[in-house]
Amino acid sequence: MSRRSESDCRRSERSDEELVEAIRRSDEEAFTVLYERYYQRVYNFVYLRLRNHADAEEAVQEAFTAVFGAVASFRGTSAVLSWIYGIAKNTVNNHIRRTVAQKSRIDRAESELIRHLESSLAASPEDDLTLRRCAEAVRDEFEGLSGWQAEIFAMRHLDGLPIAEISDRMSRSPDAVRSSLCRVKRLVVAAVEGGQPSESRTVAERSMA
Amino acid sequence: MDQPQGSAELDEAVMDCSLEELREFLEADLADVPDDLEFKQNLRDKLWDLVQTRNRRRGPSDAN
Repeated sequence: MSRRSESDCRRSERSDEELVEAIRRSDEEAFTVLYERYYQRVYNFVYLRLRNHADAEEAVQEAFTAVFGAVASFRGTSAVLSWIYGIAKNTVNNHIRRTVAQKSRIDRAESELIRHLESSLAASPEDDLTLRRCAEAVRDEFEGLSGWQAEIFAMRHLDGLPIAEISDRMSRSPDAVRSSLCRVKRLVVAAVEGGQPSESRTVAERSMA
Repeated sequence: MDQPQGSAELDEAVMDCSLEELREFLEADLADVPDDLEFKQNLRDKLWDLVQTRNRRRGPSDAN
């Protein structure tokens, strides 16, 4: 990070457009000034819509990646301010759409899993095979997780600990714990869907479209 | 790191926004929202790497 303070960066007299030009020449100070000028603005704008720091961080990263990934090809047909604003707004809207779709997918997969488990009492050999595939897929996903993510998931779903206690034990913020749980849950849902017969998968895929 | 959403040209084409929206965006940094300085620094470093990678890929002849 440049040694210039945040307020120095924001007070820089160079315009956004001049900074973009300089960033194209790999001028790190110009990059720092533009980043400092917009970071808090973008972060707060996103957070005030998503109301969750874990989601906000994900969306902020996505928005700034879009901005700085495209800076080299920025043509200046709009002001940098409105360009960055537009990207932040689109990113938030996409994030909200994805979250709604994901929630619906998780709810549906949970219902499917419960239905499978309920019917397993009188399971046919085919059902048995499906359940075994689901279990193997879930186990494979867990093997791919980092240790702390699996530990958080076990604390929450096997030990039944509250988020606050997990947060204390793992020295991570409650939002980070929630975010990790959500990611693992998504992996489990994807694994369960992947282990189901093709007919069920087709129904799930169709309803997600 | 994730790839950007689309080309700058495309992004610039969809940037229709009202003055009211821009004012809200400009004033967003006045809101009292706590953030994580470590996240900010890590993101800054990743983005600078991304910029350098993109600039190298473009080559010195495209830099101006």
